[in-house]
Amino acid sequence: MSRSLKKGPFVHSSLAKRIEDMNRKGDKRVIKSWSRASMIIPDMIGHTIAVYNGRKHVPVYVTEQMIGHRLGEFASTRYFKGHAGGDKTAKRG
Amino acid sequence: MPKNKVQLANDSGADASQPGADSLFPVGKVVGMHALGGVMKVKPSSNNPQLLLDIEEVQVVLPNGTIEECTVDKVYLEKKMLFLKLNECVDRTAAEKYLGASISTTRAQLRNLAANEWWVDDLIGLPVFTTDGAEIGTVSDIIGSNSELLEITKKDGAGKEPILVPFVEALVPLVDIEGRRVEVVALPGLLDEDN
Repeated sequence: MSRSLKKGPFVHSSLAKRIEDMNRKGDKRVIKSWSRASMIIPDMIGHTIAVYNGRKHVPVYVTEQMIGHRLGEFASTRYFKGHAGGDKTAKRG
Repeated sequence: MPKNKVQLANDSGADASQPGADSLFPVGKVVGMHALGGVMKVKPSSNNPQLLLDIEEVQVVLPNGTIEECTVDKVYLEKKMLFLKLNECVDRTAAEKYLGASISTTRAQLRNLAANEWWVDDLIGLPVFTTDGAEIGTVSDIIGSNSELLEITKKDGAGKEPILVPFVEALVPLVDIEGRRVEVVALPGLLDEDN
């Protein structure tokens, strides 16, 4: 059963409050959050949220394409660093 | 020995002024055959196999250690797998001897990287500065399946946890390979050690 539309998306109350405060002041700083289940909402776009992955906080820069997803989806709990080799490329988002 | 043998380093048209243009780049490993026409299924070793779609000459190292230099008839990608047809393989039987072989080509034959795209090897070791000019450390790795995090080892941070910075233009506005410089926005909380 899906979540009631009346409640809106789940965002942890303290996270929502801090995002709201920063948007009101026009401030930009990294917010630490343990709430991996919080949904990314349009107010978070352009902010960097450090999401806990069970070991440390992984910074996630929120973009428009992430809306509707959960914060935890962007902070993997299992990082495979890959094999060494000069054949890998990196693309800046 | 294939009749169309070529000298990769000499005939590839590589620009001699470009560093590493003649160095070999791993294409992948032959993991199977496709249909009867001699098309080989190759598991690409690069995370960006699109770069391999214009290759014309390859070096094949067979499982027994024999090295052959071959020309490419056609190459295409399907479901992250590279399909390669060599001029030397007229049918499936001729191609089957390449099963398990490692294929490589010269860097000069690769497609150019897109804007905002770099080789991971070129990025690793670059000094990192803040946009104000303060030195932070060096790039030690690129983490994530989509290269989404820049791992920075602090210059005085021996034995400490490296800093992670999202690899996006808003936070990493400058990547200058020739000038050996990466600039990061010093957002409060981003460069702290306890992140």
